[in-house]
Amino acid sequence: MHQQLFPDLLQRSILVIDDSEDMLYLGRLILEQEGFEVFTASNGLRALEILSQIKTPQLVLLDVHMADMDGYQFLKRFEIENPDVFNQVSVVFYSAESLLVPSKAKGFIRKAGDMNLFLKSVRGYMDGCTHDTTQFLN
Amino acid sequence: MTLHNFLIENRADIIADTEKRTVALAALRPSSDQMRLGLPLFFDQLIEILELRLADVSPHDELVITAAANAHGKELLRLGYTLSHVVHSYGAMCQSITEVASLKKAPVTALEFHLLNRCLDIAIAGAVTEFESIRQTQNKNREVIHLGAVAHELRNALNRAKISFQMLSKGVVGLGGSTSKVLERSLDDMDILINRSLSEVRFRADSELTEEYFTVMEVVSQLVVTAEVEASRKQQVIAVEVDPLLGLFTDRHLITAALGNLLQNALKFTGAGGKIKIIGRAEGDLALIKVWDQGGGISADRIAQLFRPFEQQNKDRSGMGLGLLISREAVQKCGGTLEVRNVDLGCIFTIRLPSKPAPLQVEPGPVV
Repeated sequence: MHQQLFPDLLQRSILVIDDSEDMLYLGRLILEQEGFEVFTASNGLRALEILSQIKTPQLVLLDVHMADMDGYQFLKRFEIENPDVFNQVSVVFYSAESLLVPSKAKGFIRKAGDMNLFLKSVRGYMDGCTHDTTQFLN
Repeated sequence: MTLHNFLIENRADIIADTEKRTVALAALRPSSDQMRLGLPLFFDQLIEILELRLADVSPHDELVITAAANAHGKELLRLGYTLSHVVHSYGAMCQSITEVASLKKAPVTALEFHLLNRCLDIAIAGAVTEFESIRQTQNKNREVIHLGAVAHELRNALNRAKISFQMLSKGVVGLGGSTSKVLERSLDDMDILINRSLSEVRFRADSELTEEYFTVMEVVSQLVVTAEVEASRKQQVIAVEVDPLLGLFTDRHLITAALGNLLQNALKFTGAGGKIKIIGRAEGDLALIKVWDQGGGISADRIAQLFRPFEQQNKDRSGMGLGLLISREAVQKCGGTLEVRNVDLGCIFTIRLPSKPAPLQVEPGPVV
């Protein structure tokens, strides 16, 4: 059996929002291997729907460039439509971008193609680490 | 009566006639108050110059006309007009002046005509210079954005490929399953992105036209072999209805690039399970090649903007937006046209080119 890198994180849930079905598949695979409960949404509207139906997840991993509604637009709508949940959950961008504009996201994980680094970053954000996203402006 | 007095007395008629002509030139393009004020402003400057100058426009006149023409050129670009519109809008005013003058039998002296033409030259130069300068800056900005979009898409595909590979190599998942498919698709995506970028570079660098005889079917068959791999991912069907004898005498690589981009566009916008059809037939002396998709069509106001550099119909950045522009430029280089129109469920891109019958096969004669 595959040994979990962070076995203490069992039962914690994450919502992954990405318009690439392949990325959603990989995200689910990696995070479920580590014991997380994983929800996925291929667009912002579906994500808003899921967030109103499930128990508040600990983390939302959000792609920036998506058709119809991008990550920034999603953040704004999420805050307006579901402010209580928005204030409880950590939303973190997971993107191929290197530069981000300031937003209410708690932080940023770059799509660097490193599974261990990805899991470490997820763990960091799950443990309450917050980053100032303005650091990615320069 | 001097031209100066004639212009004052007939201001309303000439401006109304000019506006009629520019509206006809503009077809369905939008207009604005600032744009409509551009030509009357030039007209009033013309009146003032004709009153003050006896021989030629002064440097100050030139500055005044140029500043107003700059603003007019900038506004026309903002509204989506072409360079031809910019030049012809001033030409329309010149035509209105001479036509009204002729109707009312108002003589225009050689000197007045010279001044009129000088003012028009300055105005056209000012408008065109500003139009081109802003357009070049916009294109440079778009190219930077385009480069960023290519890098972004490559990184996305690379990220998926690396993670899939790590999961496979660590034995988290077995070979031959969904993760292997993700790896394969990611590598294919990178291959397509790199090939498209290289095609764009080659297309822009190589301006030579190499003409040869070939059939449309040869090009279509070659493209469909590759396209079917992509189509199968979304369970799309590509139907080919091309007259096997339909021939062309032009640059095979340009036509391949044009059709290839249209086919990629159709694959991208047609939904899962949809159909793409390629039709080729002769119509008189022309070869018509049509690529029909089921991508939902294009809104009327976007059709005019479709062939602008980096213009895209949706936020999906994988197409990079240059494909349609390359298709049109390639077809035009071969002496043809590319048009688009909406049909049920999607749209049809139609290439029209001069057709060429197959060369006669001459049997070698006996050696004497």
